[in-house]
Amino acid sequence: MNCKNIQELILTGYSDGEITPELAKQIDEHLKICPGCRKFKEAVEETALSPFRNAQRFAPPDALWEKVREAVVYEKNRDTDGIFLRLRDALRVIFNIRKPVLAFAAAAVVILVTTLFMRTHYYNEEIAGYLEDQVEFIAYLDTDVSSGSTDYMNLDVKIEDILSQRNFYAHLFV
Amino acid sequence: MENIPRDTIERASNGDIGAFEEIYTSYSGFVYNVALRIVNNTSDAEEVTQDVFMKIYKSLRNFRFESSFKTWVYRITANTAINTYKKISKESKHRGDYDIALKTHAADDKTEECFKKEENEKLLGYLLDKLSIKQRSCIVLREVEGLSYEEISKVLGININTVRSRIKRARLALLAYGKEVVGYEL
Repeated sequence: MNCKNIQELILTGYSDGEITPELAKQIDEHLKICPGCRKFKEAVEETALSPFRNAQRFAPPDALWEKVREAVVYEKNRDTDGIFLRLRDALRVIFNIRKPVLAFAAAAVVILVTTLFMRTHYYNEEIAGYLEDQVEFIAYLDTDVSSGSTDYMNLDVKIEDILSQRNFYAHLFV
Repeated sequence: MENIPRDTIERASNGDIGAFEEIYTSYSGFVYNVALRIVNNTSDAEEVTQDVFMKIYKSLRNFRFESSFKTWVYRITANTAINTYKKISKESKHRGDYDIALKTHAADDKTEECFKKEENEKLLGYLLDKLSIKQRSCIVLREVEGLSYEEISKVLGININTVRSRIKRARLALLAYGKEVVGYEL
């Protein structure tokens, strides 16, 4: 390694501890025998290193945290206000819709609700009718059996009739 | 400097002022001193410090814990201080109002040690003024804060060889200034 390389390392890695111990040892050996590089090292230490290494560290003024805190609290409140402002803007968009459009939407909702209600009511009437038929038929069977004059052939027909009715209602509820 | 616990960062990002104060307490020394050495005057350094902490507060929600929080804070500090320096340099070329030494000690209780410190602070101000902003930021991070070349490269977002080269040129500039002032020969 020549003096130029050594001086370059004195300006950087050697002074900052960013070279390997082996390389640092080689430089130390060179410095023992080279007065030019030794003088260079002393000049670097005196002018470029020691003023910085003796630099004081200053504590930030106490009042600075208060300023930062105030600014942070302001920012935080602005964020919270921002949520309400966005909500208000969203609602404003809804209420700014033209009246005919709102009226049409309201009418559509009313029609939909009425249709659903009527349909439910219709189904309820059908179920009631079905149950009534079943009660009447069971009462009729009971009368036939108790009087001892049950017509078993006709009973089959009646059962078939009931089953077909049940299938009809089941079809309605699918 | 210890890295701040993840929980503290998350609480601060949700608006917990106490948690944010912990972050401020841990990093304000670094932020203020780097700002002071880069912008070279106390009022701008205070402004930079305030600005840095507001940037940190506003960006905390976006911090993804993929890199070190310390490096992230250092990067915001260096960028803010460099931009402020560029702005004030445009406004008034070479301000030279290095005022740190004036605030170091009261005039009536100067001991020899205080005097030496004050003189060193003055010298430091003159030396930093001899460097370009790129050289100055590398020297401040290396000499004042003791960051390694690798850390400096991460903070400034530059190659490690660029860091080495800027430090070399900065020290050569300081040597040239020393030669001019002290008059020594190499």
